[in-house]
Amino acid sequence: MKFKKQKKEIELDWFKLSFTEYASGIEVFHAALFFQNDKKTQKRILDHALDEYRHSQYFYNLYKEEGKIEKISSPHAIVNYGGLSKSPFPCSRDRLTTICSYLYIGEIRAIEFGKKVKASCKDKYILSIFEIIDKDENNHAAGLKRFLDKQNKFSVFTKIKFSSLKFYFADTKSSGLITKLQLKAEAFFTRLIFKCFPESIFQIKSSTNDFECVFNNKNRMS
Amino acid sequence: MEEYILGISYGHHESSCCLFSSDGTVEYIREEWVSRVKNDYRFPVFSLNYLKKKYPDLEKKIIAVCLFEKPLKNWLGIGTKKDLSIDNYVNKLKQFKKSDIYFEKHLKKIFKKIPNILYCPHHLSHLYTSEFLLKNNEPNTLNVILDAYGEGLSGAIFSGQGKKIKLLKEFKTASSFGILYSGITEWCGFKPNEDEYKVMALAGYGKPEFVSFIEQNIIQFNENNLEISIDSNYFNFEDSGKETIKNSFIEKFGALQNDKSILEQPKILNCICSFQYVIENTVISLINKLLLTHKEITQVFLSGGLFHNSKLVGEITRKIPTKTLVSPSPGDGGSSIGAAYFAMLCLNKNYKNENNNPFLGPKIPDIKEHSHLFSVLKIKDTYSRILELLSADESFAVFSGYSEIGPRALLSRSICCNAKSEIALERLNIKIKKRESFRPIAPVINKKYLQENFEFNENSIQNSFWMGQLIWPKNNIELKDQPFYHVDKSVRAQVFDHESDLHKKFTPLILQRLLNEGHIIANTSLNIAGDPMVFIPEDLYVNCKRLEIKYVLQDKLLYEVL
Repeated sequence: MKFKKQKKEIELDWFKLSFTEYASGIEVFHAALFFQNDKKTQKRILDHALDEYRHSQYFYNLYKEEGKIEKISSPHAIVNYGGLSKSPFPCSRDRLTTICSYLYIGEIRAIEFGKKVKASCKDKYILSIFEIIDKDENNHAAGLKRFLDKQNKFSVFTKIKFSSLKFYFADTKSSGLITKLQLKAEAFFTRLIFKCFPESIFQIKSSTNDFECVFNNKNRMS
Repeated sequence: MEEYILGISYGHHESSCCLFSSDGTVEYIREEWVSRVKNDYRFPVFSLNYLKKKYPDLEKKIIAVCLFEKPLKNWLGIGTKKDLSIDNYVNKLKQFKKSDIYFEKHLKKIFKKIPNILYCPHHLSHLYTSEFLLKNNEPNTLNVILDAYGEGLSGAIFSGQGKKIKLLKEFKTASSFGILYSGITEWCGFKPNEDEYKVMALAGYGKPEFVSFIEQNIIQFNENNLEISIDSNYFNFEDSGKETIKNSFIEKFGALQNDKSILEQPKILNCICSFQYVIENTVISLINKLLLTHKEITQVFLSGGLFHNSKLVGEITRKIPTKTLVSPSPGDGGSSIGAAYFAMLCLNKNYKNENNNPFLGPKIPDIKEHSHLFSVLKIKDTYSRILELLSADESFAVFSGYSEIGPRALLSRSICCNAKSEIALERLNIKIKKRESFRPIAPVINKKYLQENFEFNENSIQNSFWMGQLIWPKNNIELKDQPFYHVDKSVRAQVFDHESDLHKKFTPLILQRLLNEGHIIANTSLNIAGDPMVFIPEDLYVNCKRLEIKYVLQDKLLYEVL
């Protein structure tokens, strides 16, 4: 489903949105584990994670209503499609400011995205969902802001800038010319590699499965 | 001096680690429990960090790390032939970059000093996982390993035990029942390598009307050389750039109609049922033939991902009288146990290893200390309260004891309700777990009930201690008011034996009492569909909230979720 908004087009990929929210739920959950000694804050963060999982479910339901079939297995969808591969977890508690800056930028981006959708979408049901999500995301952003305001201002500033840059490059890379060229080059060189080498290099002969000498070959990768 | 051996599996399905300690302690941990990504296949960073935290001297005292496969051989084993699609080759290169060929590099991120690194052949990891978990000391054991693929093979058969093993047969990827089943899973609109159990449940709804066609045209078993051949006109096993199901298959069996429920598409159901039937027949013929030619064999061990299929295991144990056991974690997820065991054999170590059971996961943390998430119910008698919940058709969570290693909840991390109530089962299946209606819920029954109501192979009943097989009722049994039966009258029951040390030690006392008194409890894993099983109290809180479960049983206490 696509909606026109000025020059840019917003693509509502429910599957991707569902897994992005799901990945956020996981990230926020991991962040909550750093607050073992502050029970009240931990519960608030866990409730934040619950919101993210709920948002994921909204989008997943929309995706299912379109009658589509999932072609990507869920771990790959969460890690690659949902963007978990780019998150700063696992890490230690001393990187808490980095994590919260990253989560804060994520919330701001979600709010911006919601605004664009609201400006271009006419579907009342979809708008009502984005209305709920927008309210939640604003709450989350405010909570994270309160935490970041208590930290070293310079450190927070640099970490927020770094996270914004990271997201910016991730966005431009996925849709830009560079990716297309990269894919073409990958395909070309792969073909070259597999055509140039004799097939025998890749063949596994059955005699190599000599299990009797397996204990002597324990350090070998093949 | 105390020392450790670590087994690791990753890259295919569920990553895991298993730590063997010279004092006999064994600790198994699945990456998905800690990372919270279902079926997490990545290098198990979270699990290793968890182990490092729990065993602060791990880095100093570790003597070997063993990977569950030969990574280079595995990478070369599939998709490297000429004349495959360009997408396949691109995928192959991408896999190389991400594969476990970089095992040592990945390890360096965790351990400053890299210990001795060993590589266990893929199918031997499966074999040794079974050997360890099933406490095998019997040299006349037949090990049948069948999975999707690993190191260019889709399965292997060995005889023997410990270091004295003999390869009897190996199966190439082109005869992979695992890939075939994944292809059918995708064709049914489910996620391949993930939702195969849904297809297994659907097989019960169909009729085996395509069996003769499949046996004549698609799957053939040659009894003389034990070769399984699958027609490559119907399935693609090699090219990852193309669909597993080929056009000839679609022409014969049709395509899924997305606008209709799968239960309203008899041709699809009949096709699933027929393939399930042919796979069962083929594997049974294979084992029978092996037992005929190797008369010294006294028991059969089944391992590999294909034997997650509890219907297949049930049919095998029903038709083959020889003791036939499947390990509690037959897939790649359990292979880190086999890898660690292999390393122990290689290094001629003789650790005590008395902890062979399906509860090798970490001890479940006390939720009493999480008073901001749970409050203990101030009641005199927890048992009576549990009875009230069961009679009111309510569900409750169990979070007690030690974590189960396999894919099935065994009353340590479970959601339970009254299995005799249709309302309770429907509520649990559809509303709470949000599962498809066609999937049955497993009951826990006591041994007396089993003996009175079911036909079963006494030699192989151990499989039902961890829901490894289906069982079927005796012919004269009335199935009225027993909603836990599947549509084909099968049951994937967990059998509770009050005399077994396993159950005495690991089943929560209150549930032991319930089962001893003849109650039948429905038991499903403590997670929302698509999530990993809960691991720590924080997970428990998030999952209970999402599942709308109010009560949690831990040891003798009942807690309310805040």
